[in-house]
Amino acid sequence: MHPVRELLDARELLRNLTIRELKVRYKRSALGFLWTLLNPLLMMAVFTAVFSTFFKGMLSWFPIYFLTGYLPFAFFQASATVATGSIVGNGNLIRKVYFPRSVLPLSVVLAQLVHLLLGLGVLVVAETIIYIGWDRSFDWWWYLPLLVVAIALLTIFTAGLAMLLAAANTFLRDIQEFTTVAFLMWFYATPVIYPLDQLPGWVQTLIKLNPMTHFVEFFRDSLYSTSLPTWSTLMAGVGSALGMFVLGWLTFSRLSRDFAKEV
Amino acid sequence: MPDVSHPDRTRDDPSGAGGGFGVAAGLHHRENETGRGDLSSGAAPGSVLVDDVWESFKVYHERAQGLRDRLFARRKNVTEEFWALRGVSLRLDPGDTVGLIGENGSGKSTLLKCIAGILRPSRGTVQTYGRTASMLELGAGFHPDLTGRENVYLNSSILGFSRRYTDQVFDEMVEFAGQQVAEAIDRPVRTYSSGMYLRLGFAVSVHLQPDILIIDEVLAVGDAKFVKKCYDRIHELKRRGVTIVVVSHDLETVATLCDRAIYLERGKVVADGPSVEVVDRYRADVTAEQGGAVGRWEGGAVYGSGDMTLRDIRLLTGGERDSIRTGDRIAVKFRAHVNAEVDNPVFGLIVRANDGTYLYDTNTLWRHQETGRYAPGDEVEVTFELRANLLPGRYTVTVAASRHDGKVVYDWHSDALGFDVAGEFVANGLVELDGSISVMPIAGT
Repeated sequence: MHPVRELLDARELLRNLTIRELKVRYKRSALGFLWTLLNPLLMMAVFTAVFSTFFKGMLSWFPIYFLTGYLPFAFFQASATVATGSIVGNGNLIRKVYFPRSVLPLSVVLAQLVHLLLGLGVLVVAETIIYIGWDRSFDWWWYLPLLVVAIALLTIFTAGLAMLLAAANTFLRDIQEFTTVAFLMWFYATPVIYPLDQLPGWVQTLIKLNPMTHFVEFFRDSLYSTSLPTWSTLMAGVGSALGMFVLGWLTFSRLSRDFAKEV
Repeated sequence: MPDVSHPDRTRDDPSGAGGGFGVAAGLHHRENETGRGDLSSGAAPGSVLVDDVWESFKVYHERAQGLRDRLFARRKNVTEEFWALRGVSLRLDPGDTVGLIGENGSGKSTLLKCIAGILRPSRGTVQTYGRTASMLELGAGFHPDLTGRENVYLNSSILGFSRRYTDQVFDEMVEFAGQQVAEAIDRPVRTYSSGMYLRLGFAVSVHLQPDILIIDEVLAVGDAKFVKKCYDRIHELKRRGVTIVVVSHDLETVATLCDRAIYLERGKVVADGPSVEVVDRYRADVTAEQGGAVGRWEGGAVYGSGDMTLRDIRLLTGGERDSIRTGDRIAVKFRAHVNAEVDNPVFGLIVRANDGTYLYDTNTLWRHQETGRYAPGDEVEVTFELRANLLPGRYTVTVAASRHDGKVVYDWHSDALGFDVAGEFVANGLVELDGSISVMPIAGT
C-alpha cells in the first residue's frame, strides 16, 4: 500500500488525534478555549505598547499590522515545536501498535490550524468594524481567495517542517532543546513586528530568503494592505511550501521505519 | 455473538467473502514489500508469510542520543549490531493459533513486532494477508484527561477501526468492562482506578475482529475473573478462524491457547510444531540448562504471628543428581526457631503447580502427629519426604507452622521454593498416574 493511500485511510485517526489535541490542551484551565484568542490579544497588547511608538507614522493600525503577521507565525511556531516531540512523546504507542506514524505530527498541525482559523475569524470581524467606523481601506473580503491560498501554503510548509523535525528529533534529541532559541531567531528574521520595506536593501534581500517572510506577506497583502503579491513572490511561496513538504515527507517516511527501535 | 458485532462490510473487506465478520473501515494497511500482500496472489486472508527475516538493533554501550554522543561516540565505535532475528522463515495459515516461546532475547518479541508491522526487517520480507491488529496493553494511548467514552473512540481508531464500527460495538465493550466502568464512562479516565483503566483498555482490544490478531503478554495482569473473560473472548475469536499470534512467558497459556508453538533461540527457530510438544521441549532445555533448577524462589507472601520463625527452607533431591525427574524422592527441610512458648505446633506443606493449582497439602495435625512442647530459643528441624509423582513442569512449595489447632498461623511462607521437574514427554498434565497403554490384536477377528 502506498504511504499516501495509507494516510488517506487513516484520516479518521487523524481527525480523532486532532480533536484530542484540541480537547486536551485546555481541559483543565478555567478559561478553556478562550485562551486561543486571549493569547494573541495579550501578545498584541504587549507588542503594541512597545513598538507602536517606534513605527509611528509608518504603520497605521499597528495592532492589526501585528496580528496579521503574528497569527500565522504563532501557528507555524506552535505546530513545529509541539510536533517535534510528537513521536518521542507517543513512544508507548509506537512500540506497541502499527499505524501510519505521520498522523502524529500532522494532527498537531491540524489542531493548530483550528486555532489559527479562530484567530483569523476574530481578526476579520475587527477589520469589518474598523471598515464601517473608520477606515475604508479594510475591504478584506475582496482578497479572501488570496487569504485561502496563504493559509494553504503556510499549512503545507508547516506540515513539512513538522514531519522533518518530529522524525529528526527521534534520532537526535537535541532538536527539541534547540527549537525554542531557533524559533526566537526565526521570529526576528520574519517581518512580524517591523515593516520589511524600512530595512536597508541588503537586509531585505536576506530576510526574503526566509520562506516565512513570503507567507507572512501574503497574509498582510490580503488582510492589512489589501493588495496583491507579485507573481515572483507567490511562486517563491509555492516553491518553498512544496519543497519543504516533500523534504519533510521523504525524511519522515525514510526514518519512520526505525521509530519503534529508537523511542 | 449478538447481531451488533456484525458491522457492514466495505467493498475492500477481504474477509467479506467467507468470514461473516469484518471491520467496517479498515485496520491500517501497510506498505507492500513488507506489509499487506496482494490478495489476488492467492493467499487467503489471515495468512502470514515470513521469508528469511533478519533484524538487527544497534546496541549503544551508553545509549547515545545527544548530538555530542552521536558526533564523537560513533567514531569510537561504541555501537554494536545485535541480530535479534537470524533468518526466520515461517508460514502461518488462516486460523492458526501460534505461540512464540523462548528466553528473553531469543527474538520472539521482535518477530511478533515484525509481523505486526511495528518493526521492519533489516533483511527478508514479512507479508500479511488481511487485516492485522495488535492487542494493546493497559489502554496504551489512553489520555488521562479524556473521558472513558472519548478514549474508547480514540483507541479504537488508533487500532484502525472506524467510528461506525465502534458505534456498533460500543455498548458491548462497555458491558465487557463491567458495571463500574459503565457508570464512569463519561468521566475522565484519570479518575479511574487502575483496575478500571485496565479493563476498559482490554475491552477495546478484545473487540477487534481482524484476520490476524497479535497478542504480546497483555494478559499477564488483571484479576482472575476478568482475565478468564478475556481468554473466553480470545477463544471465541479463535473459533471464528482468526489467526492468532501470541508471545507469552506463561507456558501454560501457550500450551492451552495455541495449537502450534514456535521455539526461538538466539534469533533462530529451533522447534516448530504442536504446542504441547514444543513447550515441553523448551521446558526440558531450560531445566537442563539450569542444572535442575532447584533452589530458592523469589517467593510469595510471608506472614504470621511470629511465635515461630521458619528459616533455611531447602529442597533436597535424592542421590547425586541435581535435577528432579518424575517419580524421584525429594525432601523439603526447614528449621523452626521458637520465639514464644508453644505446645504441639502444626507443621504443614503445600505443593502447587506454577499457575497456582492446588496439588497436595499435608500437615502434622491431619496426621495426628505429636510435635512436642518448646520454649523460646529452641530450634526444631522439620523434614517432609515426598515422591515427586509430577509431570514435567514447574511447581512451588509453601511451608507453614501454626498453633496446635491450626487456627493461628505462626509463620507462613507462600511459594517459598520452586522446582522444575524434568522427564520424558509421554503424558501431559500435572500428575503422574503411572499410566500404561496396551494394544493387542484380538485373535480370530
